[in-house]
Amino acid sequence: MYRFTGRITIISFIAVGIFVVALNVNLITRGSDSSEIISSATPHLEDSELKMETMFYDRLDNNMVQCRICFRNCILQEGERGFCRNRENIGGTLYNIVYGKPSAIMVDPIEKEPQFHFLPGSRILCLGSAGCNFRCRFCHNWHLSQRSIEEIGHSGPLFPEDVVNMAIRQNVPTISFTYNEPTSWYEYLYDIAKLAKDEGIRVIFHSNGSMNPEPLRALLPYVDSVTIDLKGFTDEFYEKVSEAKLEPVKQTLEIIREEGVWLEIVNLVVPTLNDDPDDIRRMCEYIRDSLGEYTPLHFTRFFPNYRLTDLPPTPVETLEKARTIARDVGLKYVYIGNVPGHRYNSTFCPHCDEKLVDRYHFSVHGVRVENGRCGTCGESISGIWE
Amino acid sequence: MGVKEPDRVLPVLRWSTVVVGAGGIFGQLILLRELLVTFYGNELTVGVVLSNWLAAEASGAAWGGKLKRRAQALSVYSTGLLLYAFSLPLSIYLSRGSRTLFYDLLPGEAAPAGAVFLTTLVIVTPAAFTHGALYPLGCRFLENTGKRKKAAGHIYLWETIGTLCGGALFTLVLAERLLPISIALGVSFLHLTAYVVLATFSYMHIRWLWIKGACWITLGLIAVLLPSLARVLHETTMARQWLGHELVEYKNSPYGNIVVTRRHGEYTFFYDGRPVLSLPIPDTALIEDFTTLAASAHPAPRRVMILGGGLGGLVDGFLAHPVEEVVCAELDPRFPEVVAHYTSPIIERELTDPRTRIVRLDGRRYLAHAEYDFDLIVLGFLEPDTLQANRLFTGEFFTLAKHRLASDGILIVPLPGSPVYLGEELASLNRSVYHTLGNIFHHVVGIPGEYNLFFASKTQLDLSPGLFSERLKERDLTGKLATQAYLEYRLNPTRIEWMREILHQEIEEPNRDFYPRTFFYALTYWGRAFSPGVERFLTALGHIGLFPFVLITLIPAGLAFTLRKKKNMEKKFIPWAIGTSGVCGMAFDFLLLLVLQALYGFVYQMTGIVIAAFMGGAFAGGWWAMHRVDMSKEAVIFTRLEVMICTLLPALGSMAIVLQYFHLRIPDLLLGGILSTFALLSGSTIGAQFPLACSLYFQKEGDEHLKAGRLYAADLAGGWIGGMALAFFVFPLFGLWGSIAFLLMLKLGSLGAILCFFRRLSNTDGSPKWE
Repeated sequence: MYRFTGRITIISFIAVGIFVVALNVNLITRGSDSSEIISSATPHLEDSELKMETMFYDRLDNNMVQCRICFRNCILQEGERGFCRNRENIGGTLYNIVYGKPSAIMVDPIEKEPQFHFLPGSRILCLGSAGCNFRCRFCHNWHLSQRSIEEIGHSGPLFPEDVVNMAIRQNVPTISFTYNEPTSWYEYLYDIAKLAKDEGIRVIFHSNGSMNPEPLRALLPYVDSVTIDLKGFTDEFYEKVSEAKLEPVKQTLEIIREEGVWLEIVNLVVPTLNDDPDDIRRMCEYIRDSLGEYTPLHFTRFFPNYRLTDLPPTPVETLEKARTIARDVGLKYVYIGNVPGHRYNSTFCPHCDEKLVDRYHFSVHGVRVENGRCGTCGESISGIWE
Repeated sequence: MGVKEPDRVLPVLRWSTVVVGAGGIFGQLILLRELLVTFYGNELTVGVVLSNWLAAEASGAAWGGKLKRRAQALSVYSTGLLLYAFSLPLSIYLSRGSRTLFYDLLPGEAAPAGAVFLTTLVIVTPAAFTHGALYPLGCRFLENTGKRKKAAGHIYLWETIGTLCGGALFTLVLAERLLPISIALGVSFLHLTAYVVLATFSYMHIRWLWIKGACWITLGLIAVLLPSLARVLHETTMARQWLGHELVEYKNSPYGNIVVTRRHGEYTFFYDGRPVLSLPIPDTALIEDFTTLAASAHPAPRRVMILGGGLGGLVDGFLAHPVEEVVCAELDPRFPEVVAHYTSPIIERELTDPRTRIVRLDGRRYLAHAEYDFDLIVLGFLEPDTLQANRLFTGEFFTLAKHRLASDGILIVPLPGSPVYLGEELASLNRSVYHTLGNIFHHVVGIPGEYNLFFASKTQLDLSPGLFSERLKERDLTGKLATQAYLEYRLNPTRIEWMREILHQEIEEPNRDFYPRTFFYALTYWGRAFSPGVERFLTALGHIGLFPFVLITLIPAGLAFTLRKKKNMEKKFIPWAIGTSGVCGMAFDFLLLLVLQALYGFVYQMTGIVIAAFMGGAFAGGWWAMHRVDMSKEAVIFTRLEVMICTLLPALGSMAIVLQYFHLRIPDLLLGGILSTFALLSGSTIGAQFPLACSLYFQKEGDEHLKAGRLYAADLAGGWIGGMALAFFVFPLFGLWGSIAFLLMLKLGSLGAILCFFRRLSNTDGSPKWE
């Protein structure tokens, strides 16, 4: 045994030597693999000093401030940031620190918003930034919305006139504030919307509906259409899933309707969390009574995302049941989204039931709305068509 | 109470110890499977489960060892048997209900990374602690029968026999045929039987005949009721795990766990706890977009191969084009069998079309032996956050795919992405695959989308919307989604350039089977959503690199060299050597399983054999050291075993490379043989060290228990730390070779320390062993 272990020792040392050589060869090879890729750096601007004083806030004692942009009304000590991560108290003044710093700029089809009664088949120039004042566990754009501007970087500085010029240059008729919550970068979108209006560019935004009444009313004159996510219809759902509240959203919806701005509502139906038929019925009744029966409502299919990765997709039957409820309640334009090819992806005349806008997911195959009326029966079709 | 147990109890004790051994390995393997599902199939969970089992088992053994009065041994031992009978089903219950029991998670919400550690510890503790306590209690009990001298060795032998038999039985016979809860209840029944038999044959326990009779009757009743009890428990626990779902199918395969749920007419197929397919209406938007773009990228695709996630839409999508054959291989070859039970128009079209060919074989293996080349090789919507899936994103696989592509063929790889913004970790994940493809293919283009699509080819790629539109027109497929406007949106050159710039901002190292960079980035991406702290920690460690860790491992050797002349210093380094051996012991187990998973994807199948072989080896090594080693040469042998471990580490790497080269040709049986032989060898080397270390460490009579306790603690702490470190950062960050290099330096450090004191330890100058 003694002699045997002696031999093992010698063999072992040789093996270790071979291993070390092999490891080096492995590392060298790995290095040479990588060097074949040609690097071409994308311009990545460092954070600039660009910031804009928040339009709605109160100065408090001891250099504290209270933000008045959204329902949270955050009270911030000096140096603190709001819940949305985008507003900072610097020396007793509240600043929007993402002003002029969009992190995503893309041209999308308008159907993606979704806006089904607003220039169907047209393109929109979409802008998104960092931060959000909700914490939805199913957020589709969490890479943007659940982070600070420092974490995600930006492609700014891009001033409002640059954005409007970009839309004009690319011949895009509408600018959309989307991807993350526009409330959290209100001042930027306010300035762009104002300028766009002067230049004849239309403006829409997609929001969670949590803006306070005062800033909302100030903004709406420059806005042509709004998509609001009505995420559920119980306080419990809003608190548990989004760390938010339902009441401010209802208030926002009512103000938009009051101000006469075109409104479409999206309800993402999440299995087991907000698919109770009674809640859906109450929601539809509220829409009918408070916002009008011609308000388009989109029931969209959930797919596993962000933190809700283990939940199955929404059964299409659930969406169809929800649509039946909405139609029973009296809503005229009820859609099923995220199910390409579904009949109720398209728009139908509430009077003669003719297909008015033939859609397949984001693709529009035909529009039969003429001067805002059904091409068959002449029924007035709500929306912005020209 | 000094009554000696009768001799007739000995066979019963032997049998019950074999049951305990088998129960232990069954418990480990069942909980390993359960927790893999609870934590979404991430194989690193294996390391965490094994480490925490070890820690809890060691605590149980320490507690059991404290029992002073031998007279209590039988009652405590039999109570331990009873407890284990209940604790294993309890652990399964805890595992299946963990999401609602331990965390305030929403249905469907994934648990954060820290939860993996804590939950695992809580779940394995009842079973592992009880199992650990049964060993010393068994020894005490045997001592009570008058066999004091060799009690520990005998109990260890019987328990190891149970472990070996249990591991083989579980892997080869039970795992696929029975529900985990049925196996667990079977184990519980055997423990209950052992309890009753012991009670019947022993003087010390139950004396009255009527009680004995009642015990046997109860046992008989339990035996009769066992199948229905298993069914009820399975349904109850599954209802907790799948809260809000109607469970319609549950199946374990050698590759993973398949569950089908139903809600409002929709069937959802979960693989290792994650939804992978919905029927009758899958994610049409994603599938149609993907198949349209993929099929239109080739002028005339005749043969298409889909790997992973093909059934339920992708196959159907490609069949819409004028193809001659669509070959579909799933990650789990059993998956198609399950899907076929749930007919829907899509599945029916896919399975009845004569052009479809479902391969019931691992896709990688099939591709290596395919008789012809393909025009398109397509990966399904897989996420490389498990080693099982990562196998299809490595340079080795891409090279294989390149060889199997026709001259103008295209490999298409979808990855989690975004059409609007790529965060840093998502960008790294995409870059990793892009650069791996770039090392193998001349032409690689990425198209951004909900899933970014990478097109790789040996020839120039033309992805212009006009050309795609033309091809679709030729094939008469212009109907629905792929309008000119849609194609211009999806194949927008500005978007493609935007993505190209991001992909070229930094260069990531290529993803390989044993250096899974994409797997690491997928983990950080996942960590970003669930545990940003963990993601930052991992990224920071990644920036630090391996070198500082290697330096730390060498510190003990440096210390030993500095202090080599100091009195009594030699004994201080023996626990370090044993601790590092503990790290290596766990590493051998864990890395063997990871190698297996990286190459074959069926870690489920082989875990039992590998663990049992390792434990058997540890027992054999320990026995050899105690009975066959000339104790005057113990220091020499101990040192040589250190060298042996240092040899086995690179040998593991070398074996992995050999397996990688031949893995598509080796039959499963031979593979099992190779792995278990290595596990046996490494286990015996580690196992032989402990008795020798004890002998070297005992300074004088009287404090053996204390010293042995210290060594045992070092061994266990090493094993626990080793498993955790490998699972949480060493393997994900540095891959197999990096892990081996780290372990090798660690072990060389301890070897260096031992060599510094070699003369004193080996006592060659004739002076007393301990001055």
